[in-house]
Amino acid sequence: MTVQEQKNLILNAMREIFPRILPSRLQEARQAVLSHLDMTHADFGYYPSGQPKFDNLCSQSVKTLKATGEMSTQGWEWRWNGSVVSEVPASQATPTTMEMMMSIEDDLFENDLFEDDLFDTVVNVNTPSLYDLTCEDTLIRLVATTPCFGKIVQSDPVCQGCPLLAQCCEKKGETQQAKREAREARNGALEIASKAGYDLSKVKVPKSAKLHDTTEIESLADTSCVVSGEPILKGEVAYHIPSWGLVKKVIGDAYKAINNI
Amino acid sequence: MNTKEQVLEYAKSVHLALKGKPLPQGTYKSDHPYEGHDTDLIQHLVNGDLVKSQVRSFEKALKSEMDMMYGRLDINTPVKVTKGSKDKRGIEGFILHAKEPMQGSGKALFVYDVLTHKSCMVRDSATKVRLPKPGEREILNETYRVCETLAPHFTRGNSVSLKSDPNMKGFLLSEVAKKNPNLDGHGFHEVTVQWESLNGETSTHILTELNLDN
Repeated sequence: MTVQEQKNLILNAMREIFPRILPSRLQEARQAVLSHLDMTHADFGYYPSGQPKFDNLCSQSVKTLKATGEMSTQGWEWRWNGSVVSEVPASQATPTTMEMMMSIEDDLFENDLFEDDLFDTVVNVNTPSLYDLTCEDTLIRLVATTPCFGKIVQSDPVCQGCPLLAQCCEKKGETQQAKREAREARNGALEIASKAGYDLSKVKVPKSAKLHDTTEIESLADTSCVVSGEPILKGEVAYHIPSWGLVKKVIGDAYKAINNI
Repeated sequence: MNTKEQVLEYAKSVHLALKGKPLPQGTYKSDHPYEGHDTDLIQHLVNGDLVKSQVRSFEKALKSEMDMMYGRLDINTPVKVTKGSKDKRGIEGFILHAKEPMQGSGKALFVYDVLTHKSCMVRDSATKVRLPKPGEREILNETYRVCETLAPHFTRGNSVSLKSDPNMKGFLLSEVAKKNPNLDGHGFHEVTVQWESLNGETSTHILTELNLDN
């Protein structure tokens, strides 16, 4: 299935189920799409970093639905608008952060700094920020320019005052989960290779090796395995890892599993 | 698998296993880390990091050798002309002769490009050392050898044509092929040719540029 086909599949699923289940948090909504399709993350593949492609495809589909006005997002919450988006009066729309900041400034200029009204206004703001974090585009940009995003330390006062605190916690959880899954996959693959008599844990894979471009071949001549040094005989099925060499099938399978290929 | 020879052997066996035919061989083997075989292809077939590192160390060693030759302004040192007129600048050739200049400091060099047959006389400060292209020094030595062998056959009145343009036909004006007298016995044997198609214009060429027609 091509990327476009995958995207269309997700888009159609969203249109079918979102009117019933939204509003919902991003994670639950994504999971609902997967359940509706009766598929898993693995069906959509993974990036070399180990991140599932499904999440990215979902974001692209959401962007499409937002562009057509069928859907809107607020922070990590997704909402279904159907075809009534334009009917919402402008006056009832959620005030933006910019408007809120302007009202504070007005108060500063017109009233005494210590008036109760001003304090009320400040106290009502949950996460003081220059940015409107309810806007997904702003959030994406802010995350992109925050190098420590996803590396939260709960006890760090800087983290505690960060407007991205909640999102950062969630991201760290996802990353740890992905790392854990990758580690489990790696250990499983190493164990399989070990049972076949190959200890791959000490093999140094060259940086140049293009593991993701590995191709299965039927050897047309006798050669040897670049990892084990064993002969690969003519007619034997093996793998060619570009910029590294030919490897035995068992070893190639192990590297494919380790790298989620 | 650490040496260049081992890497090349493995690359050959991998290519044979993948394609069923031998690794393509380049025309020239000299001054090439893998005997003239395509480096990019080898990099794709085997450990690319190792290949890159071997190519780098090969070029480093070659550069060191050329630097030493250039330091002494040895004959047959590959150089590039970096200053001078538009015709001279950019010529990548070999020093065929070095001598004291008529005036000024440094040395006057006669530089000849065996691939394009361009030549010029420049001051050494207008040149810089370069790495020879794969096979270039083989061609240089071959040119010396062929010129020496053919010299007795190029005599006055013989009909010749230009190898690069066989329609250009002419006759030899020189009594015999001899080396440029300004190069003190260095350089290649050359002759003066009068061209039929250029209304009798004459020009000088080294022997490997010409075909003897009779």
